[in-house]
Amino acid sequence: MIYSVSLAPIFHSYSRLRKGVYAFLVADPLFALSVPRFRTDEEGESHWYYFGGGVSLWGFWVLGMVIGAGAGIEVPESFPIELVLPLVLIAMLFPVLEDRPSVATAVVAGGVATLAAPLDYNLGLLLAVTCGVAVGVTLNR
Amino acid sequence: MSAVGTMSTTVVWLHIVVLAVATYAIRSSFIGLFSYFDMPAPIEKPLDLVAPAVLAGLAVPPLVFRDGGYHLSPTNPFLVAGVVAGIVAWRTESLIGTIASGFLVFYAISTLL
Repeated sequence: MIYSVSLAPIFHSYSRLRKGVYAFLVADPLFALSVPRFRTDEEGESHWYYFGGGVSLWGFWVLGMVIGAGAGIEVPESFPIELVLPLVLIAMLFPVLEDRPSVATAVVAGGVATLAAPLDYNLGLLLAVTCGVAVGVTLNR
Repeated sequence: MSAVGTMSTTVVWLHIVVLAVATYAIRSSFIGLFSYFDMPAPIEKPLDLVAPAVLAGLAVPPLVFRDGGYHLSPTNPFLVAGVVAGIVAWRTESLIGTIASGFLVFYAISTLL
């Protein structure tokens, strides 16, 4: 839902069909990779980047599930599967840090999310995003 | 798996359809809504900060808060791997480099300790 708000002004001028398809493709890595691209876009062609990335991600995601579930592959106990997501997110975080307010936003959000980690229902993340954006907005003034 | 085993095929498909509609509704909610309204300017600017906030908010906690407790020590392989990966990401902005260095550090520390 947070991504939906964030993408809404970018998709504003697109056709209804394009909005419908693009909304279907929304996912964390696609959002993170596309936002910097949309921000520096001058020709208005970045939505093809979004589309291509979205279709590839979706395809490989489904393919991965079919292979994994179909073949009954189990992740070995020794493999730290919980490490994959943070590392991917860290790699995608630095390209969107472009000035002091965005760095402050990330630092505050990371800190608050960690402190609020024991909370249920992902409340910690909502709290973290709210605090982070609030601090970033204050610094932007 | 046993829960699925006791469900009829119809019920399973019903779950799939309901969840698909729900998740699509969430994703398209604001994209659809702001087709009919203009995004107010005071809201549009802070949205640039959403990406850094969400990414940091998702990335940090799993490295520090594990199994219901905080592990803020240099012997926590997740934390050290995350810090090293962060430095690599900052310097190189390379996806593969970041993931590779994180796993390398994780296995190095896990083996040494």
